[in-house]
Amino acid sequence: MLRVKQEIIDEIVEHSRSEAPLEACGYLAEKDGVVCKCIAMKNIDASPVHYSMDPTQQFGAIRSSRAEGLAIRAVYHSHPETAAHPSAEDIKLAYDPALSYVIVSLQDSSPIINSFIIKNDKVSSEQIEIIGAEKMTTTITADVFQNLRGIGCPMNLVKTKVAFSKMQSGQILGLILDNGPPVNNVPRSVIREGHEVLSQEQLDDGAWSVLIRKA
Amino acid sequence: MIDFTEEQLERYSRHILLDDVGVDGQEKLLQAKVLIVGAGGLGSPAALYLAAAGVGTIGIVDSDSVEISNLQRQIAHFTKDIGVFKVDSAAEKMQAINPDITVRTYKEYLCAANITKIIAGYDFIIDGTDNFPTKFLVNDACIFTGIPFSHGGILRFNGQTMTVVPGESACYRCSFREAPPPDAVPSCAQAGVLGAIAGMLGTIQATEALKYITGVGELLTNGLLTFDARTLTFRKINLARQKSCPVCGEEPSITHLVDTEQSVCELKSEPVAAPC
Repeated sequence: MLRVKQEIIDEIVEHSRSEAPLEACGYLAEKDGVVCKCIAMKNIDASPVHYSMDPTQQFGAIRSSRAEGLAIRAVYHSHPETAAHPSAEDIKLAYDPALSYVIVSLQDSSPIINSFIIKNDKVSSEQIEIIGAEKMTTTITADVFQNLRGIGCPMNLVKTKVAFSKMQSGQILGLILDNGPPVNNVPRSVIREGHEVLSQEQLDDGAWSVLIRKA
Repeated sequence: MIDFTEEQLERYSRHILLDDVGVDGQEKLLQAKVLIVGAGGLGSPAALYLAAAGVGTIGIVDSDSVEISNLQRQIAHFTKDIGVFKVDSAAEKMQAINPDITVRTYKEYLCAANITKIIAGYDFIIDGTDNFPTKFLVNDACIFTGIPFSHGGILRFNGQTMTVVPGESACYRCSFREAPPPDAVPSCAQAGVLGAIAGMLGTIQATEALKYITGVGELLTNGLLTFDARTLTFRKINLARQKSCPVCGEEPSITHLVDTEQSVCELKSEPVAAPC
């Protein structure tokens, strides 16, 4: 779970928009488990499809964060024209398994921010909890969300398949599934159909939050 | 894309759950148009299953009324329906199973004069007729219009079926050149038929229609499936398109539709073969 202050989300989006059509990049620093600083970095590749940070600037960011009692929590970068999912290159270049990799997609009118943990080339989706949002706490992780609480087998799978039929390949479907047969069966069935289950996380009420990438 | 209602999702859930059918396949079914020729032994189960499957438009052609002797195998018709037009009786049951679909009824004898108009616009045709002239007429009309169809026939304990995709696979005439002489082959009315085999064969035909619409699997083309219910032996005889076929061959001698001597239109006045 990546906990981020609302104003930091706004800063990331603003930075990404200001750099578009080039990719923007930067660090997110946290204190007490909440990201409270966005450190915009220069993309020395100056490219719409790649990014590299300036090593000198990286070193400075780490040092100044430490001086402020902050810790680097995540790397963010933008995808001006593609979805908020790691590219093959993003996965290859995610050298630090201790950091989260946050991707901002500007391809749609409203930006989408997803966070990923990338270990040994294996990508798993990470929930983002936004702190201090004026309206309500939102979790931005899935492109499409289906709350299937209280919906048994097999209608939960039917609804999952209907949701997939309206999505594009690579998009992420977020499901809330009841504990028991639903969480035992639905992820297994979607895997059989070639989709990728990114994460399964049990919620306080016993239900499960499941993220699936459409094949 | 169709937005399924909650009721439709539940109704068609077992199709949607199938990997090969799924949401897309069910959409195709709802948009499909299938014509069933004959509301008898083969047409009854085909009509009920296609209605249940959510085939959006189903046409059904038959000019007969329900007789008590039909009820032993023509399961769309009930005792209360005796005297009612078969297409009306069948349509009532189809709508009762699935009010989601449209049923078009044709109280007509299929003959050379009306078949082209009736079959136009349908995606697939199920031949559930009880006589050879109409079977050949359906074959020829489908070849001329390019509409795929399922041929089917039953007698005594035996059934046979093949699927024809015009221009691609063997047609009925590739293997059976012309109708046998009248009375050379007895009808169900003369020879009898075990009622349940109508269900065995009619449901195979319905399955072929569903497969054609959804694109699932391989159709029963270039092959004749036969069975003998006494031993429950199934055989698949390979068939091939014939260059010499009088209707779909290289130099066809049949270039337009004609009613053969013992056409179903003439059977009206003097029924030789009772509907199977």
